[in-house]
Amino acid sequence: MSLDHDPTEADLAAEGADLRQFVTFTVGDGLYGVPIGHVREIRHWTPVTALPNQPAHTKGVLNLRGTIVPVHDVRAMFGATPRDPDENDVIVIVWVGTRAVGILTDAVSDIISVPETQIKPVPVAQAGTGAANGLVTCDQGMVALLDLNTLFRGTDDDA
Amino acid sequence: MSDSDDEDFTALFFDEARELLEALQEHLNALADGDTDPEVVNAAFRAVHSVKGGAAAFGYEGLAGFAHGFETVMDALRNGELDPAEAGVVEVLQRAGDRMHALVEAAAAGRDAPADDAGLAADLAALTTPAAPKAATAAPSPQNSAANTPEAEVLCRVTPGPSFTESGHDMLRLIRAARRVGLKDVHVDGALPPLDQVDPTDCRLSWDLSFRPPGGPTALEEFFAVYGHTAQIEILPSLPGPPRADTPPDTERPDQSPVARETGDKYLRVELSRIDRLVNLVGEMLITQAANTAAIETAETASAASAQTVDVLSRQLRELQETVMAIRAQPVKSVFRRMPRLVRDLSQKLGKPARLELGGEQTEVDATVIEELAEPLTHMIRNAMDHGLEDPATREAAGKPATGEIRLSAEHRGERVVITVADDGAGVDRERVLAHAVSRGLVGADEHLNPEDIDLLIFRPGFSTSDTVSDVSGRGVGMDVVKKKILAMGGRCTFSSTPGAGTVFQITLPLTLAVMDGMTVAVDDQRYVLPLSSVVEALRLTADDGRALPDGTQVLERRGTYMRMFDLRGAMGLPRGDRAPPLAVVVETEAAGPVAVTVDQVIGQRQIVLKSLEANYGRIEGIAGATILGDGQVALILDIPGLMEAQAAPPRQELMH
Amino acid sequence: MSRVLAVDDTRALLMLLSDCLADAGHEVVEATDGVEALEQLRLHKPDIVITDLNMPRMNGLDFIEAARREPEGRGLPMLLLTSETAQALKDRAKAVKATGWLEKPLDPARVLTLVDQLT
Repeated sequence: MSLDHDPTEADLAAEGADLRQFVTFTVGDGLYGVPIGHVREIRHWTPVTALPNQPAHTKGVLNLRGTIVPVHDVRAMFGATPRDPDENDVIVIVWVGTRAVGILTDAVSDIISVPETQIKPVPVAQAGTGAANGLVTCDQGMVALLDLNTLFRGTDDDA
Repeated sequence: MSDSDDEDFTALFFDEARELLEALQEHLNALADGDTDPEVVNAAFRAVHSVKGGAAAFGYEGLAGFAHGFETVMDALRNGELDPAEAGVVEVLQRAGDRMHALVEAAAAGRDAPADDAGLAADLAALTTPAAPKAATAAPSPQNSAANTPEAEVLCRVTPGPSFTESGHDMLRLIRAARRVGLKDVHVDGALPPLDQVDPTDCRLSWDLSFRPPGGPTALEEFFAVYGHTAQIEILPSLPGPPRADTPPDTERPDQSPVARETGDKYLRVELSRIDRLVNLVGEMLITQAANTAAIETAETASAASAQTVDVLSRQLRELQETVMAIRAQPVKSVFRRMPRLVRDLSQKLGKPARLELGGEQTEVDATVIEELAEPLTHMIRNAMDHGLEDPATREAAGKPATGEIRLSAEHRGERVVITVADDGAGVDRERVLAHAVSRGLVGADEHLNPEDIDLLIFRPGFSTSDTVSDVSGRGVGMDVVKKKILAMGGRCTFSSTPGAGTVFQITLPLTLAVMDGMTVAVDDQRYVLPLSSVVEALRLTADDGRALPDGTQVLERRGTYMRMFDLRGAMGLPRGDRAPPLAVVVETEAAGPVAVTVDQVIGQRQIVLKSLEANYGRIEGIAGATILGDGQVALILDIPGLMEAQAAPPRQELMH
Repeated sequence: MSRVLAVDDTRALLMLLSDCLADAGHEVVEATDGVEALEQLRLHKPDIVITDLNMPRMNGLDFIEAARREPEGRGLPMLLLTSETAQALKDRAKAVKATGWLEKPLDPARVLTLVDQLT
């Protein structure tokens, strides 16, 4: 499955309607969402290439049609123990600025449209502080909207 | 066309203008030196002419206007009406060249043109006798027709001349096109065949075309302008005068020289991104080809014939790839030639007479490498001038010629290019360097360092170069920055110094940053690629081959010499294996000589396409990049010297939290 | 849509010309001097040629003259792109059987109109 949305275009379109669209996915018991315009592609797990001395939440890098994309396990980023992925898992590849980053998820659940006004702020003590920048309730429950920029802050800025 | 396209074109124009003006400078210098080759004048004329044309096209009227006046003078020179040997002529031309430069830079920066304080335009004009024409700044404005009322019926009589058809015109096409500007009716003098059976070659007739032009008569004028010189066009009732066939007075003559010879080679300017796409594509093809080869090797049914065609295809692909890479190759000359001026300037500023000797300027490297080279080279030359060369008195006291010498050269060595900056100065003052490093806290006062280690201190971040901060190299940019830059390009930086005799800096760089030959190895199921250019040989190891030194380093004895062993498994952070690695690949390193990298498997040699890890992730010490193997998996390209260095230094925490 | 052979030794201007033609849906073949343009003419058999005047190796006028002797160039619309509008030039353009000229600065709309008109 491929979602070829231009980030800015989709964002603008959603704003125009006052509706914002998110791709939601599950990781463990949690339900998370990322703006649809930031989603570059969704693909099934394939073995990745580990990087030397990579952090615990990084699974490695994969080949996305010729570009090298890192894959991170948000479960580990939120403090839970990472687990070994299998082919039932799904990688959601998102844009973070100009970088493409893969998020390891258990499954993609839905695409939801939410009026801007229904996005609630995150309580300060929320686990994984800074990682979410909004909460939304939908049919499946509470969705934490991920703040991709904070979550995947650049590593290459200091070079 | 989008704005960004326009910006691209504008940027391209400025690039070209700068190049042209640089060439112009050279031509004018040749004239100043008494060169009388007419081609020099011609080339100079064309440079000015081209800049003028571009400036007019992009709407830089000030620049175009000045260039026009300049061009008039160059034209006079070209025609022999003006003698370059005449006193003051070349000087004015050189000033005009400088002013063109200033105007181009002003236009590029979006500034107003600097004032012509020196009255240069007047000086230029004075060169051409009789009085030079006034500089035309813009194209003549289109005539405005008085009877510009749309929808009025207009009759046009078109009488094709004898060369009408030969000149690429076609009455039928004219009539077809005329419909778009409101053609209503066509009459032809004589027998009129049906419109679609008109013989287009037989044009010796008069055609009356009646129009109801939606754009008014001006639109018709414009429509007929292109036929004006091969046909007689009469616009009959309401429109006064012929279509704009008149010419504004102009002193320019067409360039009638049948073949204007270009000095030197011809270049085609191609956007780098287009070539990059080509390079990537070739890279992908090589990958596919590798997969194909593997598939045929394993397939039992594969015929000898198909194996042979695969061989042929491989060779062709390799050739294609080499050709593509060659497109990107450029001689280092383009960056080297900026250096003589730098040396001259510094020589004056520092009061140190110096001579720069260039070598191997034609050595070709990848375009991206060239771009990245300018900065480190500039810094190295500065460093050599500032810290390498002594002042003339000291030199003479030491029995050396007062004029110092710096040698900048390039050469190919295998798959790499080696660039050397050597000076015949005093060499590194180790005592001072050490004292400095101690004072900066880079080394402990009681640490014992051998001379080479002391030399290397200058590459350490935070090592300030001079006692007093000079405005030459003491700009807070140290050699560590140079080194970092070179490393980032996949290169190495070394130097050696002989007290009293001078310092030699050497940069080795990959020829290309995009494609290289690699040796694929594996530890467990992880595959890695070693740049083939650094691989010396592969060895089979026995259990007791390694010897441990007191500091824990393992060494290996081969043919009477010892080389260091490098545990790739450990360096990659892989879990300890249950057996000793059976193989080692010997890799040549500049700092530590040959190093035996221990691996489980040597898979083979293949061409690899370098992919960036940094684009989406970040830089990893000791990893030069990544590549995609035939099965689509990613493999890391190892930089063994970098890995060894990273191991020696404490691990950097630079990954995302 | 037409196949246009665009000839200019100034790369920026060539690109400007090519892109305005390509944006309008024309197929563009490029050359950077007359010699190259002759090769491209034989190879690609364009519907129309737009060529700069001042170029190294072979200028626009000489190119047109040579092209008219080629089977591909017979009756082919060939426009001369120039900032010089002296009568002498026009006479010469006429003599070599140029179809017409386009004045610089380049007006993309004018270029497109002429291409449509002449092909």
